[in-house]
Amino acid sequence: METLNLVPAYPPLPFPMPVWLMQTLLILGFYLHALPMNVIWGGSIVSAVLFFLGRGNANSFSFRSAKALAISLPLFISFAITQGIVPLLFLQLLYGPAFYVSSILMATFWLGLLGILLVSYYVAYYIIYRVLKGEFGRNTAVKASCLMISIFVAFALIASLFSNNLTLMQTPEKWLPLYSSSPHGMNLNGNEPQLVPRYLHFFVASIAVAGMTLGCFGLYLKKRNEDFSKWLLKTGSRIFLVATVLQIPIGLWFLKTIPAQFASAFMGADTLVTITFAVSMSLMLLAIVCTSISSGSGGSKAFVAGLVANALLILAMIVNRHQLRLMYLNPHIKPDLVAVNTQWDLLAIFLVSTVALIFYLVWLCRLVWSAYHPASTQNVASS
Amino acid sequence: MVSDPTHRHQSVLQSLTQYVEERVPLEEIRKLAGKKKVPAHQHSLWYYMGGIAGMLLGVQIITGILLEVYYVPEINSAHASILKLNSQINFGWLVRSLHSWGANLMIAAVLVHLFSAYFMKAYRKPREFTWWSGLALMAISLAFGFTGYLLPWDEVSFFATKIGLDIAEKMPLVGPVIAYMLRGGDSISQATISRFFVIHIALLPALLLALLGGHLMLVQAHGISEPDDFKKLPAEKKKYEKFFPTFFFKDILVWILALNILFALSTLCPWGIGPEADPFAAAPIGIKPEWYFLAPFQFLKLIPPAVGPIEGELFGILLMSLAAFAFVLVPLFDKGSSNARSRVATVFGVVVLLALIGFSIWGALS
Amino acid sequence: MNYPLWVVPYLGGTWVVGIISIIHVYISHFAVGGGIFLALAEELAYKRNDDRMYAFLKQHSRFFLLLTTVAGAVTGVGIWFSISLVNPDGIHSLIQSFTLAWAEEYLFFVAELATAFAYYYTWDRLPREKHLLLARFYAVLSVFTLVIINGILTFMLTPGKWLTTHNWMDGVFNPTYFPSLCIRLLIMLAIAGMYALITSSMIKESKFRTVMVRYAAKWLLPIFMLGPLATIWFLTQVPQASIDTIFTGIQSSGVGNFSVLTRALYLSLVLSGTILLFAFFGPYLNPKAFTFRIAVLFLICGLAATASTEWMREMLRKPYVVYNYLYSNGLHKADLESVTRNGYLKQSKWAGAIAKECTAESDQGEAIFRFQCMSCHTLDGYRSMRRLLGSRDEDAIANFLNILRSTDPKKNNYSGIMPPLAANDAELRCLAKYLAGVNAEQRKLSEQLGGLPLKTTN
Repeated sequence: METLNLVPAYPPLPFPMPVWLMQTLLILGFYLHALPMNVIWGGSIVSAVLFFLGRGNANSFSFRSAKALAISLPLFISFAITQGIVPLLFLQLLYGPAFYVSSILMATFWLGLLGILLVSYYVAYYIIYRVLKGEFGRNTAVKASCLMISIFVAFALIASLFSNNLTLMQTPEKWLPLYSSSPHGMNLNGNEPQLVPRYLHFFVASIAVAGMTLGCFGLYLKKRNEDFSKWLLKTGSRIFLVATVLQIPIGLWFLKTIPAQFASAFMGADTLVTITFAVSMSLMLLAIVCTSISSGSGGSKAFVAGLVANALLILAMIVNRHQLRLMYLNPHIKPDLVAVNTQWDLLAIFLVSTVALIFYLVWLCRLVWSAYHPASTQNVASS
Repeated sequence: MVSDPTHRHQSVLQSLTQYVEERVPLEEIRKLAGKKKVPAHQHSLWYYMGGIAGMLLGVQIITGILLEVYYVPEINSAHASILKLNSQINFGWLVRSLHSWGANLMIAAVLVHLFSAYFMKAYRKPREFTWWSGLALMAISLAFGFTGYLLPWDEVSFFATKIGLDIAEKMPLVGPVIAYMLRGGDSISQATISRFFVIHIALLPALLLALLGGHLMLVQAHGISEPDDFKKLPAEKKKYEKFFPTFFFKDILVWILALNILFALSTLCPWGIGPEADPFAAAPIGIKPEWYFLAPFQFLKLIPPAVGPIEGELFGILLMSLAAFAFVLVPLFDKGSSNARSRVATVFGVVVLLALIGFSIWGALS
Repeated sequence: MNYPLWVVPYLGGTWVVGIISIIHVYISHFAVGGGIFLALAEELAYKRNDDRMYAFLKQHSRFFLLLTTVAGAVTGVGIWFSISLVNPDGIHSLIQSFTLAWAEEYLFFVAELATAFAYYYTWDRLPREKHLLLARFYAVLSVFTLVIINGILTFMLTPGKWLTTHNWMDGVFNPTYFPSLCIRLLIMLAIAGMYALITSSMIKESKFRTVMVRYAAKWLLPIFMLGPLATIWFLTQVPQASIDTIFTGIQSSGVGNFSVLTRALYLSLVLSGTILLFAFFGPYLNPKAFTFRIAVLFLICGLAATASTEWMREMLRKPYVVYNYLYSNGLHKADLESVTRNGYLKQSKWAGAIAKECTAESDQGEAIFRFQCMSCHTLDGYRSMRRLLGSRDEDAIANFLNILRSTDPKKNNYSGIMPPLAANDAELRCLAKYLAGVNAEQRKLSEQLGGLPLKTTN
């Protein structure tokens, strides 16, 4: 009963839209945030390894693919930060009473996270403009590799802080002892049994996504450089395959560390949760089958099938993650009880702007594409 | 029709210029300004310090005049008049804070100016008189600080002045007489306020302006001093900036920066006022003079009560006077012809500077 | 008062937010103003067909991109993070009232960033008129990010009709919305000029450098002409109580506690004014002698002006987070009376939980102090409690707290700058006991010196 009292109340204002819509936007927003985030985290370590393997030769596939990852990294960081706005907004709206408290308990680390982000973001640009620019020297690749590792470590730290916060928000019974031990925001959620497997689960997923990203580079180069494209598709598929197979024992470990009544929801006790879980398991199997084909042949069709399966798999997993959070928070926080006063006018403006934005982005992409492929635009224009 | 008014406007301006030029030697001033040039090298930064001190002097004059409007140099009203200025007069607090902070910044700027001139060997022939007038100006600035500090008549200012005069009294022969004259008696009283007030607003300003005029005239006559490294350069490598407008406008930028710092200090930490001075109360614990008197103060505290046959404080005062006197004599010692002597002068300057900084910090912390 | 309070020794939570915000404001204003600068300067380069200018803009745009998309974006998130930690009640109310405005802001961010990258990565690759089009798109999109966030920022100072209607339109388009939009746009242009001076000062060729330095300096002109007008317009819309606080401060700045706002206003005016003088005497009149070092000094001046202006704007809002609605310590104005009647510790969940863990009265007082006062005060640093208490004894402190409890401005001089104390009689005694322990040492010292402890004072 004591813990219940410590969960703060919602502000005395109505929600601006129905809870289900906010939950949907939270899930979709997090999905769009998770994709680039995984590319950065997994991509940094994959790129570091590839830089090291290709350190002797600027024309080796390893070096070139590592360089491609490095050059795209700042763009992905930018996407990840911008796409983080949406899930953070709806997380605070829906589950703020829990999330604010857990953030405050680890406030110093939580703010420090942004310092780490800022520095590693600049390191990513430093690699492009200072290390990779100019002649390929003896140390170019090794230097790039070391800096990539520093980026990887930075994002590993950031990820661990997120894991800490998002698990701590689910366990209000831990809050008061932590706050009593340090009101200076120096707490972490280290004794949470879920923490390590959960963290590993996300880490291995990011390696898998980095593999998929390499494969996508392969798709992009398919017409211009067949050898390199094949190599990228094969390597990417292999990285994905290894990571995803590794994911199975880690996932089981994760499942074991969550309380039994929640785990049983995944095993049939809750129909919706079980279905989502079953769908994600079958998508995983599909992705494994497809990528094992493409990892042997370097074929693009099998890879694309694997890519789509994986994209859906991540979405299904995110839905599962959300369902797990609801189980934890359900006794403490009930956003359904907050009054709703939907701002239809603004909602309409928002939807129209979203559509407009999508059209604008498509136009922008075509423009940039045409700038980099002057010949192909003429084809597009004539066709 | 359209061009007519502008034409007439120009002719009015022209005739006005003509009127002035016939009566004032503008052309010569312009020529002088055109001739004046400033060496451009890596130590050029220090050339700005004198200008900053001058600008701050301007601030002191303006704010000082404004303060005189409200200040009452009378033992029972002095403290109240400052209190009123701080709390009831519109912008009174600002004027007073600008004056107090400005005084500190000005002394700091003069000190930096003095030491930069010293290390660039600007005291050598033919600039000996410039150097000596500069030293006198430094002394006058310190005297301004000392006399101005008493005027608000609060506890700290009273006791700081008392201690300062007690130290002055220790000087052999002239000490007691000077201290007596400044106090206007055996103890600090109304007479002291009156004397300090007159010295602060009449005597010192007159002295300062006269000396400063001479100082500037000498600077103008000799041109800006060039450090040795620069002088040795071949003529085509020596770079100069025109004083007007190039250096002058940069000077203005530096003044603006200094003014900004002054304003930030005055608004963020306005100068307060302590409880009214009570001559019969015991001195508060840990009383210290202003920062620019901290180093000698701390130095005297360290000297044992007696050094041989001489009284400790007297010994300290003599030692410091000797060091100060060395600054007066340095142009006669280091004339630029001997490298060894030049080096001795530099080392001596570094030692004095480090001692000043060290003792000040020590004094502030203890 | 709903949440645990993050104790930041010496600095205080407010300055954690403050420091991040000031840096962010300085960069984000550049992101908008610099966008306009790039668009107009590129148009000039296009019209004159000036290759040197194109080369300069390419260089400048890299600096622009590296500063705004990295440090600008991260510090922007930093403000959000830090407010969530320091004032969760406030941020929760804001995002709940303006959820869709935030969402719309996000859409503009996406468009703005995508355009910035497209713009930067297509230098020399697109036909010049297409590239110019991208620059213009960027400028427009970045202005729109301001158009939205400005509504939320000004809402906090002047919520206007929103207080009764709770309608988002009334909140966003509040009384200070348009004057503030004007001022910010003008500031943005000026800041864009100052950053352009940095890159211009690095141009090697002296003749072209002179041209660009002068061009960049002219960007400070609009605020010089229109800034004062816009400021007066802004001040006419500010709540009367804040204006009163300014005027009280004009007289009593030397001694009073009410003058911080006034002094911040002066500082902001003086710093902004001298920037214009600086621009006039420096880059405009004397462009040849304008060096990188001076440009950096200039930029620092600008940062100081920005910092003092934002500081003043924050101070105008005292003692509220959302004016007349939510106090800066997270207490809703509407709840004040019931909290004072029933006791703070009963209604503040976390303060109550902490107080329940201890028995001593002074420890209970500490809980009240932490949750009601520490959102603005620290013990030994910013707005230090030890310093402000002086040598008051427990009775004097209790009397003083009693004054702070009043909501009547005639009885409580501090009502314009501090939230009223929300505590019942027993809690007030606990708080006084705790505070008397905080300054015990000073009191002992002043008693030794023979001074009497201050009995009554306000």
